[in-house]
Amino acid sequence: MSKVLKRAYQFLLLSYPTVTRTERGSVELDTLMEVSRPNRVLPRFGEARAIVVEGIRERVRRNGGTKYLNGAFSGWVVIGLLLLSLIDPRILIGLSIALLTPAVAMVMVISTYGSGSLSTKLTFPGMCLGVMVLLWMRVRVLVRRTLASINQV
Amino acid sequence: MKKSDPKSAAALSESAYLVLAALAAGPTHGYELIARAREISSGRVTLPVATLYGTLDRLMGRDHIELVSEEVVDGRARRTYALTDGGQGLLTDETARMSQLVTAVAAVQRKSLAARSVLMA
Repeated sequence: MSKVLKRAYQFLLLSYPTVTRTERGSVELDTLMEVSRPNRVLPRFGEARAIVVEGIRERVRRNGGTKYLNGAFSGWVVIGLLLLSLIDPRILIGLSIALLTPAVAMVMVISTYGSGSLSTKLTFPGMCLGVMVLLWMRVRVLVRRTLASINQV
Repeated sequence: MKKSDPKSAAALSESAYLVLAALAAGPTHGYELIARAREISSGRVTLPVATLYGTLDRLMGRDHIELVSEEVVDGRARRTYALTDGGQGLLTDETARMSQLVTAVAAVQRKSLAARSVLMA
């Protein structure tokens, strides 16, 4: 099971620029595994969010501006999330549920995109996907907490 | 007297402060730093791993901390960090700044409490 978790964290670490990942990726991964409970399967919400936030921060810092956020990064986030959902089908289920409402709006926006590189086209949907997955993970935590509080006398 | 570097003293995030405080107890590695930070904050703050290493990177870039050693323990890569003299100074400055705030706020609260009790009487 910890193998799945490790792979999940590895994919999340793809949000780091390559330089950062080679610099401290393995140390960070080892620490992530060290702090997780042994029976853990999915990354903790707080850890996942922190990795993505650090990834954005590093990319902005290394590229000297927010302009870069419109580039390849969101493409990588999409790929990472799709790969994550391959590991755990629950992510895919959550994704499809979360996608239902804003799907129409997204399709409209994507269809207005003209020419441009693939990564440019993926920017907005990528961001939406990322936010929705984070939201869904949050919902999952809330549901679990609620259930736990119901069980408590 | 001119302050050493007002910007670096004022712009210290909570996680950076906690990391410096945790390192004040002696050089250590990431996992232990998270545990120490949690202890210092009486369980309130559990630093996410990515935030910790990001903070360590930024503190190292400003020479507040330094990498002491890098080794593999039980198949896990470990980096040990230590406070530099600059980091020690920053921690002292920041602590003084915050305790000044605490004292000032406590005085304001005492005053407003006294005013209220006068009104009540």
